[in-house]
Amino acid sequence: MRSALFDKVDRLTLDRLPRTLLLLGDYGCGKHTLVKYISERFNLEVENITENISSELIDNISQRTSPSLYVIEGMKLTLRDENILLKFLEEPLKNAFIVILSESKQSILPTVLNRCQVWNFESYDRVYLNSLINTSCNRELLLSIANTPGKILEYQQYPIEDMFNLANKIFLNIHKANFANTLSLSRHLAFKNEKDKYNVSLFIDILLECCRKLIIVGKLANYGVYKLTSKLNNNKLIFNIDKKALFEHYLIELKEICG
Amino acid sequence: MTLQNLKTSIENKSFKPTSFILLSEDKFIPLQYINAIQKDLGFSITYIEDLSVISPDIEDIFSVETQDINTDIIVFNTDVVDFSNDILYNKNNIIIVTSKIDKSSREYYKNIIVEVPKLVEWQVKDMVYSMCSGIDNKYLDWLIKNCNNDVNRLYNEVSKLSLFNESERESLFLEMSNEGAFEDLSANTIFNFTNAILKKDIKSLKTIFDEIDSIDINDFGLLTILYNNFLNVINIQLGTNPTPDNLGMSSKQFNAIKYNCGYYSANQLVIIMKILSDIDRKIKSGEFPIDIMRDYLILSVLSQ
Repeated sequence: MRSALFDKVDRLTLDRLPRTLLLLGDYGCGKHTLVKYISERFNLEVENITENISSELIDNISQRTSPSLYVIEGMKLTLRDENILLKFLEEPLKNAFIVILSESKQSILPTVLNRCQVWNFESYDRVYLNSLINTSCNRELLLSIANTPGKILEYQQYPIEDMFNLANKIFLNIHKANFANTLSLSRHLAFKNEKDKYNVSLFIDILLECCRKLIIVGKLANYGVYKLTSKLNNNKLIFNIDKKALFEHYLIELKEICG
Repeated sequence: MTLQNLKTSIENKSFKPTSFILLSEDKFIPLQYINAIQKDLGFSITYIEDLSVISPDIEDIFSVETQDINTDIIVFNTDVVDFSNDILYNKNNIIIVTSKIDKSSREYYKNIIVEVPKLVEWQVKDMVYSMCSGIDNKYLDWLIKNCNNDVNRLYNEVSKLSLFNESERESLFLEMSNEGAFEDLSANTIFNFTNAILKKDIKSLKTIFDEIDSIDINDFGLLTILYNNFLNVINIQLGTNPTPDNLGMSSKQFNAIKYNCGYYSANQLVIIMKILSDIDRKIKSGEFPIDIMRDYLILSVLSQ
């Protein structure tokens, strides 16, 4: 099953391909795959310019003669980068197609957003996602937190059940723990990509799902906890954020709410 | 034993290993005595990080296997002596070097404390002049002022100069000085800064802040160090049964952090952690300008 956006690309010719495109979709939905598809369909060279956006680069690109696709990871753009980009977007160059990839509209400046054609990735069918699971992991739990093919393929290698158990324990027992004990929870997470600890982004997804489930079954009465966890889930997307500090701040506030 | 007795016994080589405490505001002179015992008298010296290494009786949260140390003299360099233990009376080869001793320990060890006065200004000058003969005193006075009279720092600098022949020293000094080798000399580092905040030592903080531009401090580095320090303090001060093992740290680190506990209440520590853990997010989401981060860090922590 592929996204309808691929069919949309098939119906286009090069002169109808948008000069400035924003691909919007969750992690693992296929943004990079679509970029590769576009480049192969229209025989365009692809260059990721996220790390070196500058006026000099834009000038350099304006002198190139072969048509190319310039990819920008929207989540990594600074305010300075976005302002330089505005000039690029306002006066599209003949041989340049710009594609910005982002998981969230909120991370892109409105002035940049207004100058792009936005293509949204639609949600994936649960049956299709289920068919991608090829390990003996708990399917129900995995499907509750992984809504894209990329997430399914990546997350199924992790101990999802153990992570859900830990998340449950946090919400149900935090009121009994002291502060030192509460902060020690961050030792379970791989902030430095440690192999024997839990993936940080995945664990935060699991925390949110766990919180939602506990509220639904009535084991967690405090809606403030959900708001706080949701805020954590959004803030983890801020580029270059110190996730350990973010998580520990969350734990302190969670402890304060829960008592 | 008095300091004079110790000095005489080293000078006339009659010193025999015995246990005592060298107490001095500045450890420079005590460590020079130990150097002399080692180099001039030929005794072997072993430095230990913790007294529990040689005595199972020392009260400690964790259990450390005692070691048989085959050496003439054992030296334990610590910031504070706040224990009373027979070990110094039972063994005859332990020297403790410390800058502070609490009241009850002072009473317990009163017969074996050797108080070493700190070097005063003219003594520091004397030391520098004698080690750097051949260099005009006016240059050496400038160096002393630049090092803020810090004898440890000065000793490091003049030791390098004293390696050279007397006739070469002044030209070398001027060359080094022109190249900026002595510029931005500050005895303080980012760690002095964070320790002063951790211990609410306003006096030290004021001194360090006056020369902040000559200390290499990166604002995010400052945030990281302060954050980790306060986290360690919380783990030990607010933990139910903290041990080096369950906190994943060495016993030396654990003991060092213990002495940083108690300056803030539990409530203050929680508020401080909340502030420190949110600064990174605020800066990276644009809510907070980075150029005021350092001042904000200091004020928000110290105002608790």
